Amino acid sequence: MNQKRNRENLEKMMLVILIGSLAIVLGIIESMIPIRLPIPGAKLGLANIMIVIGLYYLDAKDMLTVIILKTFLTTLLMGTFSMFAYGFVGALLSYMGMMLAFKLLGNKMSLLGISILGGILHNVGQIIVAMILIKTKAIAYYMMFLLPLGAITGIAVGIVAKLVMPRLNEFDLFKTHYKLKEV
Amino acid sequence: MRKLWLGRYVSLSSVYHSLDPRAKLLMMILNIMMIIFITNWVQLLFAGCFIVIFLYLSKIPISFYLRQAMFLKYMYLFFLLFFSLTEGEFFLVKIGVLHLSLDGLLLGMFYVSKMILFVVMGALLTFTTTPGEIMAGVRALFKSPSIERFAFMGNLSIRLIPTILEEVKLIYSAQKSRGLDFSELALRDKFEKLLSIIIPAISNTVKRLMMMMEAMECRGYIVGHERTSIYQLHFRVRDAVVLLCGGMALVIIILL
Repeated sequence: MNQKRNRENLEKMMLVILIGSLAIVLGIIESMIPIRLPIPGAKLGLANIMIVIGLYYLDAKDMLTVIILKTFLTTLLMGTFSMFAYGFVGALLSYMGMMLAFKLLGNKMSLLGISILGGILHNVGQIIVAMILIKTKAIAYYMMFLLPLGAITGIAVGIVAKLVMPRLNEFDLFKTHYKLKEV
Repeated sequence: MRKLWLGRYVSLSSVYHSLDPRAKLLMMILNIMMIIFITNWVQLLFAGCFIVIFLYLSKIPISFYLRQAMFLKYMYLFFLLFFSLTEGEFFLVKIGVLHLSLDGLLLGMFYVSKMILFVVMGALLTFTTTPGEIMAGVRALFKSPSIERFAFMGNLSIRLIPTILEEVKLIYSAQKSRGLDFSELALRDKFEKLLSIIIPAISNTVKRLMMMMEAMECRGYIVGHERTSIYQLHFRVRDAVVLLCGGMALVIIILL
């Protein structure tokens, strides 16, 4: 009995590591493949594909671990700590929004909708950090550019996630943890 | 495909490199507080000098740090433009409602340098400390089971990422030899072709992880049990001195 429980815990842990690592790898791939957006300095945020997908397989606590793992390691591997502060609050806010939307609406809200919500909240979080750190209202104007951008990246992430999801359910590891009943 | 540059760690033997990761992490928190308290040029200058001393101690050329700071260059540009267009009284150029002011530009420069300081200070940690060391530092700073578990997962993930990347590279080359070319595709097609890389990568990673899980199970790994570490951290006098300097700088900034 105990052994079985341990196996389950291990499986969950592996799923967290898998989704987290893939998110980080996607982030790295994004920096290598030139996908240019019309606005300079904008990032697509491919890593969020795995975060959106993760909502459908992990519970709230494990998902939080994925978020922390992803932002923490991306910072260690790709950049500096200041990126952590920006990325973490953004990711945390978008996680809370998406989790809430998923919990309350579940099947009624499509993957695309959740992803757009996440994309916008992600940018809102970054703005909040900038406001606290730099203490200027200029940031609020910068937000006007970032909000529609969040929606656009949200759509892009949603499209890819929707294409990836059915393929993931072909793996046993993913299938046993799928949250929604019908695939 | 560009050469992959993973991790920002710069391997050198300097005073700052040899510090305890815990000291470096705490130092970074002190520095963040310091930057939040900066409100005038005198404080900014003091904080700048203070951080430059530590940059010097790390022996890494300052151009490295500046290159890192240029990551946010569009935001800096926006700030400079925003402040010179909306704030200030000494106008350089005035065309209708639009005006370009000198003190606005200075104000913009103040905020930009504050942001640059922030990035550079973060880079000081990641340039001088390996990801593994930072993980060990975090683990030692907060001694709780959930952090312990998180640090373990982080370590596994750090090991896993290079292997996934290797695999992605291989798959990318394979798809390329079959005629995949990202630069020629329309944006929509790019997403679809991205799948031809993501799906095989996930498949291989799942297989690898299942194998690792079985290996861990065989060796009696139990989730949530206490684990010991081979690498022990040592907090020495120099770590305390550095932290003391950081604390004093913070106090001076608040008093100035």
